[in-house]
Amino acid sequence: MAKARIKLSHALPALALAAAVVAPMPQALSSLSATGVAHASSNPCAPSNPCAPSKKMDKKMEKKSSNPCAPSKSSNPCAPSK
Amino acid sequence: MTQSSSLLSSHAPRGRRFTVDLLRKLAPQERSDLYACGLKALEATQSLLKQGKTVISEIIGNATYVEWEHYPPRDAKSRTGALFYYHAHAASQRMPSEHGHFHVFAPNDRADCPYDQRYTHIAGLSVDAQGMPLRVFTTNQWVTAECWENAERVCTLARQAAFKDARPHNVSKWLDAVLAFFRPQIDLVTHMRDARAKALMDRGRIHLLKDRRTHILSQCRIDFSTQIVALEELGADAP
Repeated sequence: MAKARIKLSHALPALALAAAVVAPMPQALSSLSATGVAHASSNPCAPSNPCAPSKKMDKKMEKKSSNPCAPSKSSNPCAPSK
Repeated sequence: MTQSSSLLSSHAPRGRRFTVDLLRKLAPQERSDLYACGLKALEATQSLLKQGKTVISEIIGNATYVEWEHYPPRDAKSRTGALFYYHAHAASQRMPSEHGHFHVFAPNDRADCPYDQRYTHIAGLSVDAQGMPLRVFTTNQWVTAECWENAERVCTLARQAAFKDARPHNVSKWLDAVLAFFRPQIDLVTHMRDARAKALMDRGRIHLLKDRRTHILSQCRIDFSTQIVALEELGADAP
């Protein structure tokens, strides 16, 4: 007996239909944080790398790392209030 | 992306013809394996859709979706050290129809990498508002602060990276399947990345990897339908 072959292309219309029924996710809200603004502006002295993974850093590490152009946290006029 | 034309990333051609030509370079067994990955990718997508979810709704959950924020907030990590997160750039930096993208990283224990950069970026994966894959792309080194490796090494790391035990599980399962299904395009953009970087450095931009004018180095449009139809045209089928 011939082996039944699965044609994935046959599943595509059902997939498109199922996707169309699901409500699209809303677009991202504009970021009001200083970090977001710095990322978006491609500022050469932006405080960090916009797509680097999150890091668990202690405060000492945090001061050492990041971009050398970034002002220290305490004097950064754009830093969010704590 | 707001860049002058000389700074634009390297784009792979799009469409079925290009995809067929790309996949034709694979051995028949590799195409069949890829087709099996396609089955897993469609099943993972369907499984979410049947519950009224998408890969995006699953990863964002009830949180407010804000530009640049990471979802999940501390990134999703597997036991192997591979990790990923989802986010969106500012609207002006998003490709048309892009809702956001995944950044996918492999662990990298190379001794000369700084302690806090022991990872290498495998690829970015853009999706639309229904969570359907739109493109894969590579980024400049400064964008991800990664331990930079050449294309061959990135491709090797990509094959070793698995996310299946990272949370949310539905997303990591979907991501594993989708990345495997579009592996030829990921390999392609990775090699295009190196070619593009070399070309720019040869033109005098010797500090390219830290040059903040260049974010994306290469990209390729992808979609389920084109990949599946191209594989079937080349005779691949599921076992």
